[in-house]
Amino acid sequence: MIGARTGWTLLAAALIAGALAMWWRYGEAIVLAQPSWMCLPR
Amino acid sequence: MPRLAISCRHIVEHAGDGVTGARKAEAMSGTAKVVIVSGILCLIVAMGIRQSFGIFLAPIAVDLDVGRQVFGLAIAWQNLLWGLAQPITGAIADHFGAVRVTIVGAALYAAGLALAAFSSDPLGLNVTLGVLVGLALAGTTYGTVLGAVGRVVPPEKRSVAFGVCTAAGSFGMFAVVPGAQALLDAMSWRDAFLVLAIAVGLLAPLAFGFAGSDQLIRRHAGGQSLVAAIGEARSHAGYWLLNAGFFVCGFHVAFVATHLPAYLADQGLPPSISAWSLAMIGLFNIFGSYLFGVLGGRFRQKWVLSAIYAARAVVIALFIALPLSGTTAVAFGAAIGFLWLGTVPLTSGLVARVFGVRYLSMLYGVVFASHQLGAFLGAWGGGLAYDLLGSYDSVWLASIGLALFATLIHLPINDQPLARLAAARG
Repeated sequence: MIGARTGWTLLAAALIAGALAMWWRYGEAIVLAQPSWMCLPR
Repeated sequence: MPRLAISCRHIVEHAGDGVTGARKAEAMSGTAKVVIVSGILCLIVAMGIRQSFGIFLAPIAVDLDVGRQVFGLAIAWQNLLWGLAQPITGAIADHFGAVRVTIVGAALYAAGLALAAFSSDPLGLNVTLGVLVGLALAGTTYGTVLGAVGRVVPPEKRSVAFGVCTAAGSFGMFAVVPGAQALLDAMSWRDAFLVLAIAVGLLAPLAFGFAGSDQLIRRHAGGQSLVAAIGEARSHAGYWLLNAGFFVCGFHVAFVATHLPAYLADQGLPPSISAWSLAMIGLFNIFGSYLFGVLGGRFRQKWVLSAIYAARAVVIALFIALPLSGTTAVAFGAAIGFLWLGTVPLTSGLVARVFGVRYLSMLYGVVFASHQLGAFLGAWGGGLAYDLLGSYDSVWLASIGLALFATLIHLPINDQPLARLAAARG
Protein backbone atom coordinates (compact mmCIF):
# COMPACT_ATOMS: atom_id res chain seq x y z
CA MET A 1 0.00 0.00 0.00
CA ILE A 2 1.43 3.36 -0.97
CA GLY A 3 1.37 6.36 1.33
CA ALA A 4 -0.41 9.62 0.59
CA ARG A 5 2.84 11.41 -0.18
CA THR A 6 3.94 8.74 -2.63
CA GLY A 7 0.48 8.72 -4.20
CA TRP A 8 0.47 12.47 -4.76
CA THR A 9 4.01 12.30 -6.15
CA LEU A 10 3.03 9.55 -8.58
CA LEU A 11 -0.07 11.48 -9.64
CA ALA A 12 2.01 14.62 -10.24
CA ALA A 13 4.60 12.63 -12.19
CA ALA A 14 1.87 11.04 -14.35
CA LEU A 15 0.27 14.42 -15.07
CA ILE A 16 3.61 15.97 -15.96
CA ALA A 17 4.51 13.02 -18.18
CA GLY A 18 1.15 13.36 -19.94
CA ALA A 19 1.71 17.07 -20.48
CA LEU A 20 5.21 16.40 -21.84
CA ALA A 21 3.72 13.93 -24.29
CA MET A 22 1.29 16.63 -25.40
CA TRP A 23 4.17 19.03 -25.91
CA TRP A 24 5.93 16.36 -27.96
CA ARG A 25 2.84 16.09 -30.14
CA TYR A 26 1.79 19.75 -30.39
CA GLY A 27 4.89 21.78 -29.42
CA GLU A 28 5.92 22.73 -32.92
CA ALA A 29 2.38 23.65 -33.91
CA ILE A 30 2.18 25.89 -30.84
CA VAL A 31 5.32 27.80 -31.79
CA LEU A 32 4.31 28.09 -35.43
CA ALA A 33 0.86 29.34 -34.39
CA GLN A 34 2.29 32.34 -32.62
CA PRO A 35 5.25 34.13 -34.17
CA SER A 36 5.68 35.75 -30.82
CA TRP A 37 4.27 34.17 -27.71
CA MET A 38 2.10 37.06 -26.69
CA CYS A 39 1.04 37.83 -30.22
CA LEU A 40 2.57 41.26 -30.45
CA PRO A 41 3.20 42.40 -34.01
CA ARG A 42 6.77 42.15 -35.20
CA MET B 1 -16.27 25.98 16.68
CA PRO B 2 -12.70 24.78 17.19
CA ARG B 3 -11.85 24.90 13.50
CA LEU B 4 -12.81 28.53 13.21
CA ALA B 5 -11.14 29.48 16.45
CA ILE B 6 -7.83 27.95 15.55
CA SER B 7 -7.86 29.47 12.11
CA CYS B 8 -8.57 32.87 13.57
CA ARG B 9 -5.29 32.60 15.35
CA HIS B 10 -3.55 32.73 12.01
CA ILE B 11 -5.34 35.81 10.77
CA VAL B 12 -4.04 37.82 13.72
CA GLU B 13 -0.70 36.05 13.52
CA HIS B 14 -0.81 34.09 16.75
CA ALA B 15 -2.79 36.60 18.70
CA GLY B 16 -2.83 34.17 21.55
CA ASP B 17 -6.41 32.93 21.71
CA GLY B 18 -5.26 29.97 23.69
CA VAL B 19 -6.11 27.33 21.12
CA THR B 20 -3.73 24.46 21.27
CA GLY B 21 -3.78 20.70 21.00
CA ALA B 22 -3.34 18.06 18.37
CA ARG B 23 -7.06 17.49 17.80
CA LYS B 24 -7.72 21.15 17.08
CA ALA B 25 -4.60 21.44 14.97
CA GLU B 26 -5.95 18.57 12.92
CA ALA B 27 -9.20 20.47 12.39
CA MET B 28 -7.26 23.51 11.20
CA SER B 29 -5.34 21.30 8.86
CA GLY B 30 -8.57 20.01 7.33
CA THR B 31 -9.80 23.52 6.55
CA ALA B 32 -6.42 24.48 5.17
CA LYS B 33 -6.32 21.40 2.95
CA VAL B 34 -9.72 22.16 1.44
CA VAL B 35 -8.70 25.76 0.73
CA ILE B 36 -5.34 24.69 -0.74
CA VAL B 37 -6.85 22.01 -2.98
CA SER B 38 -9.47 24.48 -4.21
CA GLY B 39 -6.71 27.00 -4.88
CA ILE B 40 -4.63 24.44 -6.74
CA LEU B 41 -7.50 23.48 -9.05
CA CYS B 42 -8.50 27.12 -9.57
CA LEU B 43 -4.99 28.11 -10.59
CA ILE B 44 -4.53 25.14 -12.93
CA VAL B 45 -7.69 26.05 -14.83
CA ALA B 46 -7.45 29.85 -14.74
CA MET B 47 -3.73 30.14 -15.49
CA GLY B 48 -3.74 27.29 -17.99
CA ILE B 49 -6.47 28.74 -20.15
CA ARG B 50 -4.96 32.19 -19.94
CA GLN B 51 -1.62 30.89 -21.16
CA SER B 52 -3.18 29.25 -24.20
CA PHE B 53 -4.58 32.41 -25.83
CA GLY B 54 -1.53 32.91 -28.04
CA ILE B 55 -2.28 29.91 -30.21
CA PHE B 56 -5.62 31.46 -31.21
CA LEU B 57 -3.89 34.34 -32.98
CA ALA B 58 -3.52 32.80 -36.39
CA PRO B 59 -6.98 31.21 -36.77
CA ILE B 60 -8.74 34.33 -35.49
CA ALA B 61 -6.70 36.66 -37.67
CA VAL B 62 -7.49 34.56 -40.73
CA ASP B 63 -11.17 33.97 -39.92
CA LEU B 64 -12.00 37.58 -39.07
CA ASP B 65 -9.64 38.96 -41.69
CA VAL B 66 -7.97 41.31 -39.22
CA GLY B 67 -4.31 42.07 -38.62
CA ARG B 68 -2.41 40.27 -35.91
CA GLN B 69 -2.13 43.49 -33.98
CA VAL B 70 -5.89 43.36 -33.33
CA PHE B 71 -5.58 40.15 -31.37
CA GLY B 72 -2.31 41.35 -29.86
CA LEU B 73 -4.01 44.49 -28.60
CA ALA B 74 -6.81 42.47 -26.98
CA ILE B 75 -4.25 40.33 -25.14
CA ALA B 76 -2.26 43.42 -24.16
CA TRP B 77 -5.45 44.92 -22.67
CA GLN B 78 -6.07 41.66 -20.86
CA ASN B 79 -2.65 41.64 -19.20
CA LEU B 80 -2.73 45.30 -18.31
CA LEU B 81 -6.24 45.15 -16.85
CA TRP B 82 -5.38 42.00 -14.95
CA GLY B 83 -2.56 43.85 -13.23
CA LEU B 84 -4.39 47.12 -12.67
CA ALA B 85 -7.53 45.41 -11.37
CA GLN B 86 -5.66 43.04 -9.03
CA PRO B 87 -5.34 45.49 -6.10
CA ILE B 88 -9.04 46.32 -6.38
CA THR B 89 -10.26 42.73 -6.63
CA GLY B 90 -7.80 41.89 -3.87
CA ALA B 91 -9.35 44.54 -1.64
CA ILE B 92 -12.82 43.22 -2.46
CA ALA B 93 -11.68 39.67 -1.67
CA ASP B 94 -10.16 40.84 1.60
CA HIS B 95 -13.48 42.45 2.52
CA PHE B 96 -16.16 40.19 1.04
CA GLY B 97 -14.22 36.96 0.76
CA ALA B 98 -12.60 34.85 -1.92
CA VAL B 99 -15.75 32.81 -2.63
CA ARG B 100 -17.72 35.69 -4.09
CA VAL B 101 -14.77 37.19 -5.94
CA THR B 102 -13.88 33.84 -7.52
CA ILE B 103 -17.49 33.17 -8.57
CA VAL B 104 -17.81 36.59 -10.18
CA GLY B 105 -14.39 36.10 -11.77
CA ALA B 106 -15.42 32.70 -13.14
CA ALA B 107 -18.62 34.19 -14.54
CA LEU B 108 -16.67 36.98 -16.25
CA TYR B 109 -14.11 34.48 -17.54
CA ALA B 110 -16.77 32.17 -18.99
CA ALA B 111 -18.69 35.12 -20.44
CA GLY B 112 -15.53 36.53 -21.99
CA LEU B 113 -14.66 33.25 -23.68
CA ALA B 114 -18.22 32.45 -24.77
CA LEU B 115 -18.83 35.93 -26.17
CA ALA B 116 -15.43 35.88 -27.87
CA ALA B 117 -16.62 32.78 -29.71
CA PHE B 118 -19.32 34.95 -31.29
CA SER B 119 -17.15 38.02 -31.93
CA SER B 120 -16.83 39.18 -35.47
CA ASP B 121 -14.83 42.40 -35.15
CA PRO B 122 -11.89 43.95 -33.27
CA LEU B 123 -14.15 45.69 -30.75
CA GLY B 124 -15.71 42.39 -29.78
CA LEU B 125 -12.31 40.79 -29.21
CA ASN B 126 -11.10 43.74 -27.14
CA VAL B 127 -14.18 43.73 -24.92
CA THR B 128 -14.32 39.95 -24.43
CA LEU B 129 -10.74 38.66 -24.38
CA GLY B 130 -9.35 42.01 -23.30
CA VAL B 131 -11.66 43.55 -20.71
CA LEU B 132 -13.81 40.65 -19.46
CA VAL B 133 -11.04 38.05 -19.28
CA GLY B 134 -8.55 40.59 -17.91
CA LEU B 135 -10.89 41.41 -15.01
CA ALA B 136 -11.70 37.73 -14.58
CA LEU B 137 -8.05 36.83 -14.18
CA ALA B 138 -7.74 39.34 -11.35
CA GLY B 139 -10.51 37.50 -9.53
CA THR B 140 -9.50 33.91 -10.17
CA THR B 141 -5.72 33.73 -9.91
CA TYR B 142 -2.87 34.30 -7.47
CA GLY B 143 -4.07 37.43 -5.69
CA THR B 144 -7.35 35.89 -4.60
CA VAL B 145 -6.09 32.35 -4.08
CA LEU B 146 -2.96 33.19 -2.09
CA GLY B 147 -4.97 35.55 0.13
CA ALA B 148 -7.44 32.77 0.91
CA VAL B 149 -4.68 30.23 1.53
CA GLY B 150 -2.62 32.63 3.63
CA ARG B 151 -5.47 33.14 6.07
CA VAL B 152 -5.82 29.46 6.96
CA VAL B 153 -2.24 28.26 6.88
CA PRO B 154 0.08 28.70 9.88
CA PRO B 155 2.84 31.26 9.25
CA GLU B 156 5.56 28.61 9.38
CA LYS B 157 3.89 26.64 6.57
CA ARG B 158 2.78 29.58 4.48
CA SER B 159 5.71 29.73 2.09
CA VAL B 160 5.41 26.02 1.28
CA ALA B 161 1.65 26.35 0.75
CA PHE B 162 2.20 29.32 -1.55
CA GLY B 163 4.84 27.29 -3.39
CA VAL B 164 2.43 24.41 -3.91
CA CYS B 165 -0.28 26.74 -5.25
CA THR B 166 2.17 28.55 -7.52
CA ALA B 167 3.45 25.22 -8.83
CA ALA B 168 -0.14 24.28 -9.63
CA GLY B 169 -0.56 27.45 -11.67
CA SER B 170 2.73 26.66 -13.35
CA PHE B 171 1.49 23.17 -14.17
CA GLY B 172 -1.66 24.64 -15.70
CA MET B 173 0.43 26.95 -17.87
CA PHE B 174 2.51 23.97 -18.95
CA ALA B 175 -0.26 21.43 -19.54
CA VAL B 176 -3.21 23.38 -20.89
CA VAL B 177 -1.45 25.01 -23.86
CA PRO B 178 -0.90 21.78 -25.82
CA GLY B 179 -4.38 20.67 -24.77
CA ALA B 180 -5.82 23.82 -26.29
CA GLN B 181 -3.76 23.20 -29.42
CA ALA B 182 -5.31 19.72 -29.61
CA LEU B 183 -8.73 21.37 -29.36
CA LEU B 184 -7.85 23.69 -32.22
CA ASP B 185 -6.78 20.71 -34.29
CA ALA B 186 -10.14 19.08 -33.69
CA MET B 187 -12.54 22.02 -34.00
CA SER B 188 -12.89 25.67 -34.97
CA TRP B 189 -11.49 28.39 -32.75
CA ARG B 190 -15.04 29.44 -31.88
CA ASP B 191 -15.96 25.95 -30.66
CA ALA B 192 -12.65 25.71 -28.81
CA PHE B 193 -13.47 28.94 -26.94
CA LEU B 194 -16.87 27.50 -26.00
CA VAL B 195 -15.21 24.37 -24.62
CA LEU B 196 -12.81 26.51 -22.60
CA ALA B 197 -15.75 28.61 -21.36
CA ILE B 198 -17.38 25.46 -20.01
CA ALA B 199 -14.09 24.38 -18.41
CA VAL B 200 -13.70 27.73 -16.73
CA GLY B 201 -17.22 27.41 -15.37
CA LEU B 202 -15.79 24.69 -13.10
CA LEU B 203 -14.17 27.47 -11.11
CA ALA B 204 -17.54 28.53 -9.70
CA PRO B 205 -18.18 25.38 -7.59
CA LEU B 206 -14.48 25.27 -6.70
CA ALA B 207 -14.84 28.73 -5.19
CA PHE B 208 -16.88 27.33 -2.30
CA GLY B 209 -13.72 25.59 -1.14
CA PHE B 210 -12.58 29.02 0.07
CA ALA B 211 -15.52 29.32 2.48
CA GLY B 212 -13.43 28.26 5.46
CA SER B 213 -11.05 31.12 4.76
CA ASP B 214 -13.83 33.66 4.26
CA GLN B 215 -15.32 32.85 7.66
CA LEU B 216 -12.23 34.37 9.21
CA ILE B 217 -12.77 37.68 7.46
CA ARG B 218 -16.26 38.00 8.90
CA ARG B 219 -14.99 36.95 12.29
CA HIS B 220 -12.39 39.69 12.28
CA ALA B 221 -14.44 42.50 10.79
CA GLY B 222 -13.68 45.79 12.50
CA GLY B 223 -9.91 45.33 12.82
CA GLN B 224 -7.43 47.40 10.85
CA SER B 225 -9.07 49.38 8.06
CA LEU B 226 -8.20 49.05 4.40
CA VAL B 227 -7.00 52.65 4.26
CA ALA B 228 -4.79 52.10 7.30
CA ALA B 229 -3.32 48.99 5.70
CA ILE B 230 -2.49 50.91 2.53
CA GLY B 231 -0.92 53.72 4.55
CA GLU B 232 1.11 51.23 6.55
CA ALA B 233 2.47 49.59 3.41
CA ARG B 234 3.19 52.92 1.73
CA SER B 235 5.36 54.01 4.63
CA HIS B 236 7.38 50.78 4.57
CA ALA B 237 10.47 51.08 2.36
CA GLY B 238 10.63 47.32 1.95
CA TYR B 239 7.22 47.30 0.29
CA TRP B 240 8.45 49.67 -2.41
CA LEU B 241 11.53 47.54 -2.93
CA LEU B 242 9.36 44.45 -3.33
CA ASN B 243 7.34 46.32 -5.94
CA ALA B 244 10.51 47.21 -7.81
CA GLY B 245 11.78 43.64 -7.62
CA PHE B 246 8.55 42.17 -8.92
CA PHE B 247 8.58 44.71 -11.76
CA VAL B 248 11.89 43.17 -12.83
CA CYS B 249 10.41 39.68 -12.59
CA GLY B 250 7.58 40.71 -14.90
CA PHE B 251 10.02 42.23 -17.37
CA HIS B 252 12.10 39.06 -17.50
CA VAL B 253 9.32 36.52 -17.93
CA ALA B 254 7.38 38.57 -20.47
CA PHE B 255 10.43 39.35 -22.55
CA VAL B 256 11.68 35.77 -22.61
CA ALA B 257 8.26 34.19 -23.15
CA THR B 258 7.32 36.65 -25.85
CA HIS B 259 10.53 36.93 -27.80
CA LEU B 260 12.51 33.75 -27.21
CA PRO B 261 10.93 31.86 -30.15
CA ALA B 262 11.57 34.81 -32.44
CA TYR B 263 15.14 35.16 -31.13
CA LEU B 264 15.86 31.48 -31.75
CA ALA B 265 14.32 31.68 -35.21
CA ASP B 266 16.49 34.70 -36.02
CA GLN B 267 19.51 32.62 -35.07
CA GLY B 268 18.47 29.93 -37.51
CA LEU B 269 17.13 27.37 -35.06
CA PRO B 270 14.04 25.38 -36.08
CA PRO B 271 10.59 25.76 -34.43
CA SER B 272 11.01 22.39 -32.72
CA ILE B 273 13.85 23.86 -30.65
CA SER B 274 11.68 26.82 -29.69
CA ALA B 275 8.93 24.41 -28.73
CA TRP B 276 11.21 22.40 -26.47
CA SER B 277 12.70 25.53 -24.96
CA LEU B 278 9.19 26.73 -24.07
CA ALA B 279 8.24 23.28 -22.83
CA MET B 280 11.31 23.24 -20.58
CA ILE B 281 10.40 26.67 -19.22
CA GLY B 282 6.97 25.30 -18.34
CA LEU B 283 8.27 22.04 -16.93
CA PHE B 284 11.03 23.46 -14.75
CA ASN B 285 8.81 26.31 -13.65
CA ILE B 286 6.71 23.71 -11.82
CA PHE B 287 9.72 22.43 -9.90
CA GLY B 288 11.11 25.90 -9.22
CA SER B 289 7.79 27.30 -8.00
CA TYR B 290 7.52 24.51 -5.45
CA LEU B 291 11.16 24.36 -4.42
CA PHE B 292 11.55 28.09 -3.84
CA GLY B 293 8.36 28.03 -1.78
CA VAL B 294 9.96 25.32 0.38
CA LEU B 295 13.22 27.28 0.62
CA GLY B 296 11.24 30.37 1.64
CA GLY B 297 10.02 28.41 4.65
CA ARG B 298 13.56 27.53 5.69
CA PHE B 299 15.55 30.64 4.86
CA ARG B 300 14.81 34.34 4.92
CA GLN B 301 12.68 34.97 1.86
CA LYS B 302 14.55 38.09 0.84
CA TRP B 303 17.81 36.14 0.63
CA VAL B 304 16.19 33.52 -1.57
CA LEU B 305 14.69 36.22 -3.78
CA SER B 306 18.09 37.85 -4.16
CA ALA B 307 19.56 34.47 -5.07
CA ILE B 308 16.91 33.92 -7.76
CA TYR B 309 17.60 37.25 -9.43
CA ALA B 310 21.37 36.73 -9.20
CA ALA B 311 20.94 33.31 -10.80
CA ARG B 312 18.83 34.86 -13.57
CA ALA B 313 21.67 37.29 -14.31
CA VAL B 314 24.14 34.40 -14.55
CA VAL B 315 21.83 32.24 -16.69
CA ILE B 316 21.07 35.03 -19.16
CA ALA B 317 24.74 36.03 -19.35
CA LEU B 318 25.76 32.46 -20.10
CA PHE B 319 23.02 32.13 -22.69
CA ILE B 320 24.16 35.12 -24.71
CA ALA B 321 27.88 34.47 -24.13
CA LEU B 322 27.97 30.80 -25.14
CA PRO B 323 27.66 29.72 -28.77
CA LEU B 324 23.97 29.17 -29.47
CA SER B 325 22.81 25.66 -30.33
CA GLY B 326 19.72 23.55 -29.85
CA THR B 327 21.24 22.17 -26.67
CA THR B 328 22.03 25.55 -25.14
CA ALA B 329 18.59 26.88 -26.09
CA VAL B 330 16.78 24.00 -24.41
CA ALA B 331 19.14 24.17 -21.42
CA PHE B 332 18.43 27.90 -21.15
CA GLY B 333 14.70 27.12 -21.16
CA ALA B 334 15.18 24.66 -18.30
CA ALA B 335 17.38 27.02 -16.27
CA ILE B 336 15.30 30.17 -16.69
CA GLY B 337 12.12 28.11 -16.22
CA PHE B 338 13.44 26.89 -12.88
CA LEU B 339 13.80 30.55 -11.84
CA TRP B 340 10.50 31.62 -13.45
CA LEU B 341 7.73 31.93 -10.84
CA GLY B 342 9.67 30.93 -7.73
CA THR B 343 9.43 34.64 -7.00
CA VAL B 344 5.66 34.38 -6.42
CA PRO B 345 5.58 32.36 -3.16
CA LEU B 346 8.57 34.34 -1.88
CA THR B 347 7.23 37.79 -2.71
CA SER B 348 3.70 37.04 -1.50
CA GLY B 349 5.16 35.28 1.54
CA LEU B 350 7.27 38.31 2.38
CA VAL B 351 4.25 40.60 2.11
CA ALA B 352 2.31 38.29 4.44
CA ARG B 353 5.22 38.02 6.86
CA VAL B 354 5.69 41.77 7.21
CA PHE B 355 2.09 43.01 7.00
CA GLY B 356 0.03 39.98 8.01
CA VAL B 357 -2.65 38.22 6.00
CA ARG B 358 -5.69 40.40 6.72
CA TYR B 359 -5.16 42.44 3.54
CA LEU B 360 -2.82 40.09 1.74
CA SER B 361 -4.86 39.90 -1.47
CA MET B 362 -4.89 43.67 -1.80
CA LEU B 363 -1.26 44.27 -0.79
CA TYR B 364 -0.02 41.46 -3.02
CA GLY B 365 -2.30 42.80 -5.73
CA VAL B 366 -0.42 46.10 -5.74
CA VAL B 367 2.90 44.27 -6.06
CA PHE B 368 1.43 42.15 -8.83
CA ALA B 369 0.37 45.33 -10.66
CA SER B 370 4.06 46.29 -10.70
CA HIS B 371 4.81 42.85 -12.13
CA GLN B 372 2.34 43.40 -14.95
CA LEU B 373 3.74 46.82 -15.74
CA GLY B 374 7.17 45.24 -15.98
CA ALA B 375 5.70 42.51 -18.16
CA PHE B 376 4.17 45.10 -20.46
CA LEU B 377 7.53 46.81 -20.80
CA GLY B 378 9.35 43.51 -21.35
CA ALA B 379 6.99 42.31 -24.06
CA TRP B 380 6.51 45.62 -25.83
CA GLY B 381 9.95 47.11 -25.15
CA GLY B 382 11.62 43.94 -26.41
CA GLY B 383 9.84 44.26 -29.73
CA LEU B 384 10.49 47.99 -29.91
CA ALA B 385 14.20 47.55 -29.24
CA TYR B 386 14.37 44.88 -31.92
CA ASP B 387 12.66 47.12 -34.45
CA LEU B 388 14.92 50.07 -33.63
CA LEU B 389 18.24 48.25 -33.25
CA GLY B 390 17.75 45.15 -35.34
CA SER B 391 18.63 42.71 -32.59
CA TYR B 392 17.71 41.65 -29.08
CA ASP B 393 21.25 42.15 -27.73
CA SER B 394 20.46 45.36 -25.86
CA VAL B 395 17.40 43.81 -24.20
CA TRP B 396 19.38 40.77 -23.05
CA LEU B 397 21.95 43.15 -21.53
CA ALA B 398 19.17 45.19 -19.92
CA SER B 399 17.75 41.97 -18.50
CA ILE B 400 21.09 41.19 -16.87
CA GLY B 401 21.33 44.71 -15.47
CA LEU B 402 17.80 44.54 -14.09
CA ALA B 403 18.50 41.14 -12.54
CA LEU B 404 21.53 42.54 -10.73
CA PHE B 405 19.47 45.54 -9.65
CA ALA B 406 16.78 43.23 -8.24
CA THR B 407 19.43 41.12 -6.53
CA LEU B 408 20.68 44.15 -4.64
CA ILE B 409 17.40 45.84 -3.74
CA HIS B 410 16.05 42.83 -1.86
CA LEU B 411 18.99 42.78 0.51
CA PRO B 412 18.09 45.86 2.61
CA ILE B 413 14.40 44.96 2.97
CA ASN B 414 13.35 44.97 6.62
CA ASP B 415 11.52 41.65 6.71
CA GLN B 416 10.56 41.69 10.36
CA PRO B 417 6.80 41.59 11.09
CA LEU B 418 5.39 44.98 11.96
CA ALA B 419 5.16 45.93 15.62
CA ARG B 420 1.37 45.63 15.36
CA LEU B 421 1.69 41.93 14.53
CA ALA B 422 4.38 41.32 17.12
CA ALA B 423 2.15 42.90 19.77
CA ALA B 424 -0.78 40.72 18.69
CA ARG B 425 1.38 37.68 19.18
CA GLY B 426 2.06 38.81 22.71
